[in-house]
Amino acid sequence: MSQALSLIDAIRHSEEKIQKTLRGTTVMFAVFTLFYLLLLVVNPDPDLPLYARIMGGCYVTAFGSFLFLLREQIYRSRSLDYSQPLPEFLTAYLPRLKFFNPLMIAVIPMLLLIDIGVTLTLLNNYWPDFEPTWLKVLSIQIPYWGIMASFLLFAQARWRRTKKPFADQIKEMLSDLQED
Amino acid sequence: MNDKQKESLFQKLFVDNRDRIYRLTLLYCREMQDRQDLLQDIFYQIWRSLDSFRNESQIDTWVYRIAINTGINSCRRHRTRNRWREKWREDVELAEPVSQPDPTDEEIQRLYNCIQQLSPVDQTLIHLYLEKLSNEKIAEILAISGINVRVRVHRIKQRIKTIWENEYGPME
Repeated sequence: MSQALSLIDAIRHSEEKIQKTLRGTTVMFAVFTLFYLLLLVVNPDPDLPLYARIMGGCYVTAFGSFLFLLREQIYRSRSLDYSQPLPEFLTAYLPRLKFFNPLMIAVIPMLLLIDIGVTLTLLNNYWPDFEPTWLKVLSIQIPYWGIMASFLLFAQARWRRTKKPFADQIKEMLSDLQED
Repeated sequence: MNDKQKESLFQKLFVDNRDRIYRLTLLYCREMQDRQDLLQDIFYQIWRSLDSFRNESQIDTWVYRIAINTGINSCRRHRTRNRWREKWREDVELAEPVSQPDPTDEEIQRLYNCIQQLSPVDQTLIHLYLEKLSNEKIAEILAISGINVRVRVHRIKQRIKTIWENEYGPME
């Protein structure tokens, strides 16, 4: 009986910890978002150029959306009902193991917003004037999307190693359960 | 359900089901430490799901469903050691359940070696059968028909017999 009680304590402790981490992350992103909002979007300084406000808007929207997605992802992973019958559980679980899941697709607009923000920052602050604009934009876009593509490839390689074999096994189990 | 009721129901479920769930963990991992981790994970999920228990199924069927689903989920991540688990291990040292099969019993070891060569669904099904659950209860846990359970059990026994004979010679 005492084991059950200490388990309850441990469960409560880790639940509190999860909530605390979630709250901490939310606060951190909210502070970032507010900071950029005040600094670059609603700043009353008349000398603040329009590009800086647009850039700030892009970062704020991207941060805000990222926070929303992060929370969605956490709540989604915690909402899985383990008391369902096996086929229903497996059917509900399978979409979480797909590489191109809806949450991942929702990241694309955020990357575009960050891209706009980064491009505006570099174009207006750190780039020599002698190049034509299209060349400047291109020399920002190539490394930016190159880095993003490497992240994507890395994530896919990781997914192939960790989640794909499990997804295949679940599909196999589902077809096995559907057999007469 | 208030906190007090939840706690006492959980304690009862823990005492009533710990041994059989510990035996079930053998389907998903062999190492004792991994099995202990999985046992904790299962009871963690039971605790989290207690509020949603609606008496639509019998409580032991409900517990088995959680145990099997958590076990399947753990296959993906039982090798990863997270800090949270390490902390749990420090806080809650679950004693070895008493009524588990004697690991020195060679016949049982052999039987489990044969079972582990079956498909995951068949492994689960034969384990529930060996736990002496009725066909109806197994059918309810796995959401398949009772006839299907009977047919499958028959097929699995034949398959185990073949594996056994290939690996260890004729069955005595």
